[in-house]
Amino acid sequence: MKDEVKTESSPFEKLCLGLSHDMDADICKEIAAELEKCPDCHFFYNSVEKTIEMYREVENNKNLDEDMELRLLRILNLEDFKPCDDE
Amino acid sequence: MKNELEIIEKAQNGDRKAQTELVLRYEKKVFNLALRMMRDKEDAEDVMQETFLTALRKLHTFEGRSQFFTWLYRITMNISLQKLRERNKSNAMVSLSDPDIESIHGQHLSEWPAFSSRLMTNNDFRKLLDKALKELPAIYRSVFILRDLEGLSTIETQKLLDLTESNVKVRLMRARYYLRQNLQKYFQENQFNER
Repeated sequence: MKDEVKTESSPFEKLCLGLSHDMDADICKEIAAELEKCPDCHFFYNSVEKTIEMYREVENNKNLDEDMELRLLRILNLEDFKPCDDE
Repeated sequence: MKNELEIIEKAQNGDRKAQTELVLRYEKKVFNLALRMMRDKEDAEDVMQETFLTALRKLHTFEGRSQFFTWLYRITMNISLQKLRERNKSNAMVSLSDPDIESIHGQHLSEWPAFSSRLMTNNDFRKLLDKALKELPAIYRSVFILRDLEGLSTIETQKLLDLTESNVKVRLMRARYYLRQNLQKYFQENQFNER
């Protein structure tokens, strides 16, 4: 399937892409208007938003095991250069 | 904390302490990005090691035109995508369709359940989230991860993945739609009723 987007964004595209952090104010207004007149769109928009939130919640940053860090520094021949905790 | 550009310059001149400092500064970010892409701890460790080996080898080519972490992320993504391509040669991937606004109208959708810690700690639910992200073809997963999980902008994502703005947007839309549909199925099967 090709990835080309039509020049004119469909209402769905506006709804979905409107969730981006870098959305511009005009699109924001259009989305608000769309959501007001279409309850299903409102629920849909809300569910996409929740999907992203749920992924953010479970995909939180994990710490490296100490062994993993040691293996990394060893492979890079940097194990002797790790600063001591009091440095 | 020392100025990053100073550390990079020292590392480029072969200062091993500065190289170590860079690795320690970014190991967690690189590991987590690799883990999100690979969906497996051992594979993520391999990607992280390869990323830093490549980064230190090519450090002299970093000219400071982008932020250092963007440069490092680009290496991480390239290595992850390469490994996923090799791994998926024999695996069938899901195909993603374009969402259709007409199908939303008149569906009588209703509010999803509230975002609760009980739901988020439910093992079956977490497995479902992981499975759906694993099934998502790498070209879509990479955009979803960079945009929605790592918080990069469209421009940063397109530069990092060598895509056009349109490519980023359409891939993000399809990825979000696919993941959303998976959750919808789960909520339906678990007595979450439509209106």
